[in-house]
Amino acid sequence: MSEPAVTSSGPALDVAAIRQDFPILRQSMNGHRLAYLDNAASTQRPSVVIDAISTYYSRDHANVHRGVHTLSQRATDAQEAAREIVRQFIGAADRREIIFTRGTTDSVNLVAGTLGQSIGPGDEILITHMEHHSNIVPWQMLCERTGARLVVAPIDSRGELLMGDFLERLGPRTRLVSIVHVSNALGTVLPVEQLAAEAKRRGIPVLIDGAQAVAHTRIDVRALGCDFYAFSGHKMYGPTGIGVLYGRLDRLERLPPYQGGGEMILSVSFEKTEWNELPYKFEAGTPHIAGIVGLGAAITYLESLDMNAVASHESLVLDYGRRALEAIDGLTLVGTAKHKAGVLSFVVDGIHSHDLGTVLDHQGVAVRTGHHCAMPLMSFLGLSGTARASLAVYNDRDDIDQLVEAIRIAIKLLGR
Amino acid sequence: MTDSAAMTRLYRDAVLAHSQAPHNFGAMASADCQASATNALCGDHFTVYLRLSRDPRRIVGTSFDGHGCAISMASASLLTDLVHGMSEGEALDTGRRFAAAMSGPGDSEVPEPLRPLTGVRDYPARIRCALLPWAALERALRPADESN
Ligand SMILES: Cc1ncc(COP(=O)(O)O)c(C=O)c1O
Repeated sequence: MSEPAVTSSGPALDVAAIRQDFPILRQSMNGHRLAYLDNAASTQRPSVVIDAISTYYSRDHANVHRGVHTLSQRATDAQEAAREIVRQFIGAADRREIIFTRGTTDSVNLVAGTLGQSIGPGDEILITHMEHHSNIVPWQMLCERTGARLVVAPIDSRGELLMGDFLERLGPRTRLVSIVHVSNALGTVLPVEQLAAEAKRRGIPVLIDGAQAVAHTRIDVRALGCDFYAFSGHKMYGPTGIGVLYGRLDRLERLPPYQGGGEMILSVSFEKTEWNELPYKFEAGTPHIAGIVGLGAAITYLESLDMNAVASHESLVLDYGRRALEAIDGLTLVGTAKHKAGVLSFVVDGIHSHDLGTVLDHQGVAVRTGHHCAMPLMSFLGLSGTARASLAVYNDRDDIDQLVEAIRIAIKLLGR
Repeated sequence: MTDSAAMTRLYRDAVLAHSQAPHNFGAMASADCQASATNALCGDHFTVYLRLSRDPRRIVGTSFDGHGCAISMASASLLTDLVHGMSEGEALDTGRRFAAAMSGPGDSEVPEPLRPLTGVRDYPARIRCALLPWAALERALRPADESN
């Protein structure tokens, strides 16, 4: 196959060396080289992240902000150093705008759970037709509680948001726009900057679900012009159980606390409790300190590779993969938006995605199959599910070649 | 075991034949009872339709419709062949034995006509595919209000 005609902007990545950074990739899977192509579900971790967590537990652990002793101070320093790393990574103005959560789902729920007090019957929350369930269900629950209405902006069959329809739905009753940055099911990259600008002109706050964006392209929350930005550590080479909600300071200040407990208070009496300052107001309870440390290490690792190089490498592999899959008879790519990031979703004639997934696994190829937590999107596309290969920085053409070979085997075995 | 041997143990010819040309496929207009089951994980969905005679009470007609993977399609197709002629108790018992053989510990035997599905046991993530149509059958024969 010929070289794809894509010009890369960043320096080239040494993928062979990067693969060595990820111990899990060294194993063989069912007798084959492991082609891990399920990164949209969760990426793997480099040794530096695993080591950072191990070092934290074996040298620095105690509870944060609670003790005067040295270990507590070390743990607190480690946590706050990671907060600063996150701040710089996404271009936030102030460390108080970085709230540690359990992940994207938790971040969206935090906003949905606290915004409710200013929302009433007839108000509207605007989302798109390609949201992950975690950017649908919290809003449905909010609507149930408040009498607000969930409004959905339509897409076309290629997985492109229909701009005109979106703008039409930005109305006088819209209280929040909550949109995905990169679709996990299709890979569509939404023009979030433009959408946020339109919302801003109307004074409407914008939340962006960045779960599938942060590890793949440089994020600058101020340039994007969003009010909230949510993402998960485990989809960016960091630990599970940790994530971030970025919120603009003025927006966060106006929201009431999410959960009550320790850490989020200044003073408590049975009569009155005074909320702690940001970001602690939204961080009730002992945080996932080791997760925070691991997330900091993951970001440092990503930065060491250079985000521009990461983005251009992944787009080269994506382009190679798209061409290779298009050449397979009976295979249809799902999601062909003009601007896409590392996701290749597809169906094969006469083969259910789960059967495909099982055969691929036997060839050492890990892909996700099913509805990808986007059932409304799947029913719009008239599909019950797809197989999805999703890319990370350690994927290369060998992974794609192995995927293609495995699909051919599946077709031979199961195709009609 | 080589890869392709393991794969052909899962996707036996009989499984592929049933999934590609399922027996008794289609809705039944005059069913005495019917029920559906959905696998929330993948959205696969089946409805099982039964016709019952009165005296003795037996299953005298079966069909199914819906959509699913090769494993669940084959299982549904085999189900409709197998429970035809059984009493309700026998059908439910067959389903229970199949579920036990699939997911239970030890080595309870997979009921003979369902043997082509034995290979599924080696794929824990796929066992629920095999059991999905049987969940619909159980629901059809034992509507929720009677079972609890
Ligand atoms: C686009 C998108 N949003 C949200 C989520 C939820 O992330 P988490 O499960 O880490 O909370 C995911 C994860 O699959 C996702 O892909």
